[in-house]
Amino acid sequence: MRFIPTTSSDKKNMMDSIGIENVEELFRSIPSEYLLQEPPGIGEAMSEQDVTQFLSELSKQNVSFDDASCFIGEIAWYHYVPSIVQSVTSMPSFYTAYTPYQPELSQGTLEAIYEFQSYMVHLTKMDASNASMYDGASAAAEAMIMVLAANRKKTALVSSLLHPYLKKVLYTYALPRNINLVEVPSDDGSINHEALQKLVSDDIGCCIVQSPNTFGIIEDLAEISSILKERKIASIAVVLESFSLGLLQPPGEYDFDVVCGEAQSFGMYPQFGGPGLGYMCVAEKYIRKMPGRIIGKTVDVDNQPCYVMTLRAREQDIRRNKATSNICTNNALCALQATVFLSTVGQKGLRDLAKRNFNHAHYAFQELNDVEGITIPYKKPFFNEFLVQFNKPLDYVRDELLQRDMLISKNNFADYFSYLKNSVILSFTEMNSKAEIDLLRDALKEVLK
Amino acid sequence: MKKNIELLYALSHEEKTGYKLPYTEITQDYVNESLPNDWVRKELFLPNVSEVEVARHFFNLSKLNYGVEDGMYPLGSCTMKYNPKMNEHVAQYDGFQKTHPLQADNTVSGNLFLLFDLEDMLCEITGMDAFTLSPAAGAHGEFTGILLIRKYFEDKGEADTRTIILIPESAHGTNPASAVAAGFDVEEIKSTATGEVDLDSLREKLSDKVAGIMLTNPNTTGMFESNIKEIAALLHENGSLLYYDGANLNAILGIARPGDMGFDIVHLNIHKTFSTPHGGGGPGAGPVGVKEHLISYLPEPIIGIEDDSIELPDMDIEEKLYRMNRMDKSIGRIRLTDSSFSVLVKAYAYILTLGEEHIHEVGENAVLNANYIKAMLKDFLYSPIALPCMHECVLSASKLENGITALDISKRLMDYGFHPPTNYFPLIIPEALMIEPTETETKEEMDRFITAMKTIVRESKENPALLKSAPTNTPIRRTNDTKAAKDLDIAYKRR
Ligand SMILES: Cc1ncc(COP(=O)(O)O)c(C=O)c1O
Repeated sequence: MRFIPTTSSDKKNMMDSIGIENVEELFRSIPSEYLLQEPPGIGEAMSEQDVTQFLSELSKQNVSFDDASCFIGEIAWYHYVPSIVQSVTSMPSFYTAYTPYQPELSQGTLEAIYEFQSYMVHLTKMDASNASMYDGASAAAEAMIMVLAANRKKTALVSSLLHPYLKKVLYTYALPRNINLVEVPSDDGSINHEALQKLVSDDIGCCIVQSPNTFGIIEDLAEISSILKERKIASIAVVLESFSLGLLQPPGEYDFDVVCGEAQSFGMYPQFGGPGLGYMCVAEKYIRKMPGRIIGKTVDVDNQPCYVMTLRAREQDIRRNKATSNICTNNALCALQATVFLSTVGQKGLRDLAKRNFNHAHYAFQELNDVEGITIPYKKPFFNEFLVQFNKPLDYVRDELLQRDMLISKNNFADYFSYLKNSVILSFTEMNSKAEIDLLRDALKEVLK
Repeated sequence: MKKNIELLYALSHEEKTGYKLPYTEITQDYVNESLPNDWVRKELFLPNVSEVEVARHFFNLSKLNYGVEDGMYPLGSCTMKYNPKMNEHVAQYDGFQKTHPLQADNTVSGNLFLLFDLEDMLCEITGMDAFTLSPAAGAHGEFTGILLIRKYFEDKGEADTRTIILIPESAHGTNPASAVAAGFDVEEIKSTATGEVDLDSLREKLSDKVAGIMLTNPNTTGMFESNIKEIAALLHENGSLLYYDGANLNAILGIARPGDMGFDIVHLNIHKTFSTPHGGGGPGAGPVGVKEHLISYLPEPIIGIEDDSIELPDMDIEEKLYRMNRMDKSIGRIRLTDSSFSVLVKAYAYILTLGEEHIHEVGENAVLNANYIKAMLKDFLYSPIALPCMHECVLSASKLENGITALDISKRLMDYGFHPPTNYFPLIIPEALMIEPTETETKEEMDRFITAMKTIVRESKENPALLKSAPTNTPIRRTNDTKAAKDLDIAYKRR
C-alpha cells in the first residue's frame, strides 16, 4: 500500500518493542463480535493510473463550462481564476498544515489570514473580520445567533428576498434556538420599506437583508439601515456575490452592524458547490462575540512582530457548551485562495472586474428585454443577474438550451414565489462573451417563438 | 529564511497590477445610466501589486509554515496523515471544478454518480444505512446529527421532554457546543482514569429526559470504549440514541464499524480519516451517516436513483440519478450549496485506492505506530494509562521536575524539527501530550522523534532553561498572547 511505509521488519521490530506477537493483540479491547470478518465492500484497490483515468471519465460525463456556456449564479459564480491562485494553494506547507495552534510553526498561515481579514474589513467597510466561516449561509445564521444573543432578543426580521436556500438554512438554525423569523414583504423586486417600517418593534433583535437580493436587485441599504437604526435594531447585510463589492457601496458605508456572506467568487471555481468561503465582518461592539477564529498581530519574546490566534476564550475548545459557536475547522485554505486572488487583481482589478460583470449583465438585459416570450418582471438596478420569465415551461426551455450548449439554473422561482411562473435567474460574468450572450438571445427567440 | 515578511499593503503602488482584463466586445458603459451615482463605491482599500510580488510573498510565507512534508506531525485527534497528491490532482479536473451546484441533474451525472457511490462506500465502512454528504466539517456534522435526534423525538412527540444530551467530560469541545447549538442541555458524565465512560455516572444520569449520548470511540485518550455494548443497551433501553463522533475512526478503519456497535448516527471527519488536507484550518467535510429509523430526517438534498436495480459502479446511468429536495420530515437545509464537493472527490479517490485489500492496514498500522511510540517513551514520560492504546497515546508532563510543562516540551520539540503533539487535550489528563503518528509515518522518523523526546526529557532535568526558552530555531519564538488580546490588531489600518 503506497501510503503506508512500514516494512515487515519494521513491524516485527515495533511488535518486539511493544512486547506483542501480532498486531491483533492491540485490538483486544474491541469486543470480538465487532471485529470485521470481511472487509467493507468498497471494491478492489486501484492504482493511481486507474483512479485518475476513472475519475477523468466520470468528470467528462458532466456538462462542464468547457462544454457549454454557463448562465447560472444565485449562490455560486463562474469567474476566472488566475493561475497564481492554484500555484499558491498547491504549496504543501499551506495546504497540508493544521489549524495554526502553534504560532512558531504557522506564521505563513497566520499572516495570510491576517491579510484576508484586512481585505474583508476594507471591502465591507467594517471594523473586524473573522478568519472564515463554512459558507455564506452558515455565516448569516451565526451572525443572527450572535446578534440576538447580544441583544437578548428572540425575533429576527428576514427579507423575503433572501435566496431561498439561504432562507431555508436560517430556518434550520433558528428552530432549535427558539428564534422566530418574521419575513419582510417585498414590493416590485425589493424590500417594501413601508412594510419594514411597520414591522420594526422593540421585540425585534435584528434584521437580515441580502443585497444584491435573490433577484439580483440592489437593495436601498441606506434607507433600510436608517429605518432600523431609528428603532435601534441590529442590521445584518448578506452579500453572496462578493464581486459586487468592487462596484457598489458596501453595507459598512451605511452603518450595518454585520456584513457576511460568500466569497467563492474570489478565486474559487463553483466546483459543484464547494467548498466556497463564508465570511463575517462586524462593527466594533461585536468583535468579542464573533464565532470562529480570529488572527491578531503581536510580538514574540524577542519583540519580533508576529501573528497568533486571539480572543480564544470565545471558542468551543475553551468554553465548550458556553462557546459563541461550535465551529472548529473553518475554510482557511479558501480564505488563502481569496487572499491571493484579491492581492493579484488588486484594487484596480476588482473595480474593473465588477464593472465588467455589471456591463455584461446589462448588455444581456438589453438584448433579452426585446425577445418575444420573455418577461422581465422587475426593472430595478441590479448587479450581474436578473430574473426572467418565459412564456413556455421552464423545463422545456432549459432542455432546448442544453441542446444548444447553454446551461441555465435548475431552480424554477415559481417554486418559491408562486406568482412567478416559469421564471429563472440568469447570471452574466466576465466569462460570458458578447457572442455567447447573442447566441443565448437568438436561441431564446427561436425556442420561445 | 526571511523572517519578517511585510504585508502586501506595504508594497502597493498605483502603477502596479497583477491583472489585466480580458478582451470584450461589450464596450458600452452602463454604470452611469443604470446605477444611482450614490450607490457607486467611492473608495476601495486593497493593495496594487505585481504578480511577481504576490508569488514571492506567498512563497516566502509558506516557508514559515510547517506541513506534513516537513516531517512528523503527530497532532493527536487530528490525524495528520499524508495527503496523497493524486487527490489534489483529480479534484482539479475541469469536468468537476467547472460545474455549478444549480445545474440540472441530467448535466451532472458524473458528479451525482460519484456522490452516490461515495455514500454507499461510507455506509459499508461505517455500517450505517444512509449518509448525507452536506456537512462542511466535523462540528457541522455534529450539529446536523443532533438536529436529527431532535427531529426524531419531535416526530415521536417527545421533543419537549427529551432535552438532555449526555457527553463524557473527556469529549472534544465541539460536542457540547454543537449539542447546545441544536437546542439541547448538556450533562457531563464522568470518565474513568482511561477516559472511558464511567458506567455508574452514566446510570445515574439516565432518565426519560435523555435524548442521546455523544461518544468518541476510540475516545479522546486513545482508548476503545470496552463497555460499548452495555452503554448502547442502556441508552436504547432508555429510548435514547447514540451519536458517534468519528474524529478517531482511523484507529478502526477496516477493522470494526460504529454501526455494528449500536450507534444510530455517526459523523466522519473526511479531512482526518480520509486523507484530505487540513488546509491550515479547513476546508473539511463532515458527512453524517444514520440507521434506517433516521433516514427520513436527513437534510436536503438527498441523492436518489430512479431504478435501484442498477448495479454500481456502472457509469451508464445517465439521467437515472437525481437530487431530491423536499422530504416532509427533513431537518431542512444546512448549507447554501449541497456539499463541499471537491473535498469529497479527494476522499473518493482515496477510498478507491485503499480498496478492500488495504483498508484494514490503515487502522492496524496507525495503532501499531502509536503503541510503538508509547512503549518507547513510557519510561521517560508519565504514561497515565497502562493498557495498549489505539491510534494515539497520551503521555503527561505532570511528573517532570523544574516546573516543566507540556507546553515546554512541545516548544522544545520544534527546535528538533518536529511539530509538537496536541497538548492540554483531553482535559481530564493534566499536562497531556497526545501523540498520533498515523499509519503514514515511517519508523525512521518515529525513531528520530523518540530520540528527540528522550533528549528533551533529559534536558528538562539537566538544563530546564533550554525548554523554558524554546523554541529558538523557529521563524519566531514564543508569542505574547496577552498583548494580542489587549492591543487588538486584527486588520491592517489605512495610514
Ligand atoms: C474528537 C473531535 N471531535 C470533533 C472535532 C471537530 O471537527 P472539525 O474541526 O472538523 O469541526 C475534532 C477536531 O478537532 C475532534 O478532534
